[in-house]
Amino acid sequence: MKQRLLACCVLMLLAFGARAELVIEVTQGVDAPTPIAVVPFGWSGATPLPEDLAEIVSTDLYRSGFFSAMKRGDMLSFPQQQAQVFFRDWRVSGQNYLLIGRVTSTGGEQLQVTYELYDVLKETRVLGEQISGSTRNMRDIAHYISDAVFEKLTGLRGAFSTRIAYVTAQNQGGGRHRFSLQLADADGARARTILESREPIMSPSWSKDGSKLAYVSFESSRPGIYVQHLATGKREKIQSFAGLNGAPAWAPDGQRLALTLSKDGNPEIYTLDLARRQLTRVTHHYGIDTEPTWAPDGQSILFTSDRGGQPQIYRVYLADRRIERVTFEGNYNSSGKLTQDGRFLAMVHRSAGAGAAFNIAVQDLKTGRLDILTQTSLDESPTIAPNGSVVLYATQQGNNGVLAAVSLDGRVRFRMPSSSGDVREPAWSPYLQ
Amino acid sequence: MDKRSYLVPSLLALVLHAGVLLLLAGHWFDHADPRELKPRHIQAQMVDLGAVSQALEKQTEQARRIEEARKKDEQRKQSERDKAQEKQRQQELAAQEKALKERQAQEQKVKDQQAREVAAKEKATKEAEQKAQTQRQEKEKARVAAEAKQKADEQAKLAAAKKKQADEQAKAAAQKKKLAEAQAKAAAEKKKQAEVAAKAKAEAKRVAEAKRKQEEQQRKEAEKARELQELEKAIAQEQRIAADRASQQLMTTMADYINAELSRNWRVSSAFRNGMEAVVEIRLFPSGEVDSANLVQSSGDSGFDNAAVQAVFKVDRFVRVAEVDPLTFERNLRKFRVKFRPEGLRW
Repeated sequence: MKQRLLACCVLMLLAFGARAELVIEVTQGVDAPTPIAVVPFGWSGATPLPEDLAEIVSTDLYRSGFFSAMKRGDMLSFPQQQAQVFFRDWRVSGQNYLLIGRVTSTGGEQLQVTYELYDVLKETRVLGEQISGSTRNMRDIAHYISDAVFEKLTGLRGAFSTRIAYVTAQNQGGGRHRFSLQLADADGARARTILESREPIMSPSWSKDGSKLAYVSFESSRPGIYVQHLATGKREKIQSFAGLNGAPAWAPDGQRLALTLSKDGNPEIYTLDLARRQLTRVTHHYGIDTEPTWAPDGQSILFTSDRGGQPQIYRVYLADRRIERVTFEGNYNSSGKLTQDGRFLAMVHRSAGAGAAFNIAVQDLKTGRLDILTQTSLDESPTIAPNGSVVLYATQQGNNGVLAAVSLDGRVRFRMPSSSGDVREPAWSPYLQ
Repeated sequence: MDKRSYLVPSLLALVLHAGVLLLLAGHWFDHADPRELKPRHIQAQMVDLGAVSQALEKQTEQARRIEEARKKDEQRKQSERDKAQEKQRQQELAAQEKALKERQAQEQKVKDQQAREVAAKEKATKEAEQKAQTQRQEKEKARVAAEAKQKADEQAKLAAAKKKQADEQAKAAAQKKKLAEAQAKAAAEKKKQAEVAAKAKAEAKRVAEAKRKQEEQQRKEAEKARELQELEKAIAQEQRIAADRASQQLMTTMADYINAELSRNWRVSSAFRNGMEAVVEIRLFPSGEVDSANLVQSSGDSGFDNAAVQAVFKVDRFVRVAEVDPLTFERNLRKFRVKFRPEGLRW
C-alpha cells in the first residue's frame, strides 16, 4: 500500500514537473562586441563623395567598443536597397546587423542620405531614415547615423556627434612652444584651433550646454581663468588672483565654476558664482586641494588632495562641507571625472609598489571596485564621453603626447588620429544641442 | 388483742375462697366435654365472683396493708406501751376472753351469712350455667343444621362440579382426539413437506455447489485477470516512470545544450550590469529551428533585451532538438522560456 502511495506521489510529481514550462537560465555570454556590417553607401554621382559615410559610421561603431565592424573585403555583396539584401549570406558571415544606405544628389552640394538598418537574424528592418545635408557636413551626417544606430541597438544615447577639446604644444625650438586649444569631432577629425598662445593653456572645461569653454591661460603675467564662447569666439577673463588659478570645472547648473586658487596661500577649492562673481571657499586644509569636478547632482565636488600624505580623491558636500575620502587603492589617484550617472569615477591611478605606472582606472562608486583600463605608462587627464561608454585620455607615444581612448570596460582601446605636436588635456563635450 | 385487727376477716376470707374452689372443682371435672373447649360454643353467664373475690382480695390487701401499717406502728409504739400496758395485761386478758367469745359468736354469724351468700351464688351460678347450657345446645343444633345444609350444598356443588368435570373431560377427550388427528395429518403433511424440502434442499445444495464452483472459478479467473492487470499496470507505471526519468534526463541534457548554444551566441555588452534580467519566450519547430523569439519580460534596457533576442536568433537552429521524440518535444520544447541574467560582470 505504501509503495503504491509512493508511486502515485512520484507520478504526480512527475506529472507536475511535466506540466511546468521549461525555463532555462542563461548567465554567461560571450564577451565580444556585436557584429555589424556597414555596407558602403551607394552613390550615383559622377564625382566621388568627399567623405565615406559608411567608413565613418563603421569606425564610430567600432570605437564605441559595442560593435565589431565587418571588413569590406569580407563582404559578399554591397546591397544598397532591401531587395538586394540576402540575409542568408550575412547570417552565414556571422553578422547580426546590416546597415545599408545610399546617397543621392539633390542639386549642387546638397545631398540626400538614406540609410536602413536590418536585423539579419530576424530578417527585419529595424531602422531607416532619410537625411538631407550637403557635401560639407557629411561627417555630421555620418555621426548622426552612428548615433541613431548605436542608440537603437544598445539603448544608450550615442556620443559620436559630440566634440572634444584638447591642448597641443608645438615645439618651436629654442625652448619655445606654441600652445593651441583645439576643438575636434569626437573621433578626432576636423580639428580646429580656437585659441593660440605662446604661454601654456591648461584645463579646458566644457559648460553644461556645450556652448562655452573655460580654461586656464598663462598669457598674462599670471595664470588666469577664461571663459570662451565657442560660437562667437568671445573670451572673458574670470579670475586672476595672485598665485595659482587653475582647474576650472563647470557646475551642472552652468551658473558656477569650481576653481583651485592659492590666493590665500595654499591651493584650496572655491566656487565662483558667475553672475555675481562671488567667490566661496569650500576647503580649508594645509594640504594641496585641486582638480575639482562636480557630481552630476551639483551637491558635492570631488577633488584631489594630498592631505593624507598621498594624492587621493575626496568628496566635499557643499551643504555641510563634510569631506569623505573616495579612493583608497594605490598610492596615487588624481584627476577624477564622473560619468553622467555619477556611478563611475575615472582617474589617473598608480598602483602601490615600485615601478608602477600611471594608468587610467575606473572605480565603481557603488561597489568600490577599481579597474585599471590602460596599459600605457604615463596616462593623464581622463575625460568621459557623455554616454559613459568611452574614456578619453592623454598618454605618451615616444616623446609626444597623444590622445587615446578606452571603453569603460577596458575592452576596446584605440588611439585618436595624430595631431601635430604634443597633445594633452582632452575634454569631452556634453551632448550638443 | 386489738379490736381493729383484721386477722379474723382475713382468715374468713381464706376459708370462703377455699370453699368456693371446692365447689367449682367438681363441676369443672364433671363437664370435661371436648366440644366445650371450643370457645365459640361456650355460652357463659357472667357471675360477679371476680368482684367478690376482688372485694375480698381488696379487703385482704387493705387489711394486709393496714396490718403492715399497724405492725409498723405497733412496733414503733410497742416499746413505748409495753411498760404501760403490762400492768393492764390481766385486765385485758379478761376482756380478751370476753371479746373472744363475742367474736366467735360474730364469726359464726359471719360464717352463716357467708354460707348463705355462697349458696345463693351457687344457685345463681347453676342457673346461669343451665341457661348457658341450654343456649349452647340450641346453638349447637343450629350449627349442626347449618353444617348439614352446608354439607348438602357442598355435595350438590360437588356433584355439579363432577358432572361439569366429566363433561369437560369428554369434551377435552374429543378435542384431544381431534387434535391427535390434526397432528397426525400435520405430521403427514410435514413429512411430505420435509421430503419435498429435502429434495429442494438437495437440489438447492447441488445448484449452490455448482454455483459456488462456478463463482470460485470466476473468482479465480478474475483474480488472475486482476493480477495480470496490476502487473500490466505496474509494468506500465514502471515504463512511464522510466520514460519520465528518461524524458527528464533528456530534458536536462537538452536544457544544458540549449543553454550552451545561447551562451555561445549571447553577446554581453559592456553596458550590461549585474542584476539585469530579461525573459524571452522561444518557439521551435520540431527540426529545432527557431520559429519565434519574443521578449516577455524586459530588463528595462533595450540593448540588453535586443541582445537576448538576438542570441536566440543567432543560434537559428537547435540541431539536437530534432533528436527529441515528438511527445517530449510537444510537452517541453515546442515553447519554452529563457531567462537571461548575467553573472560575474565587472559591474
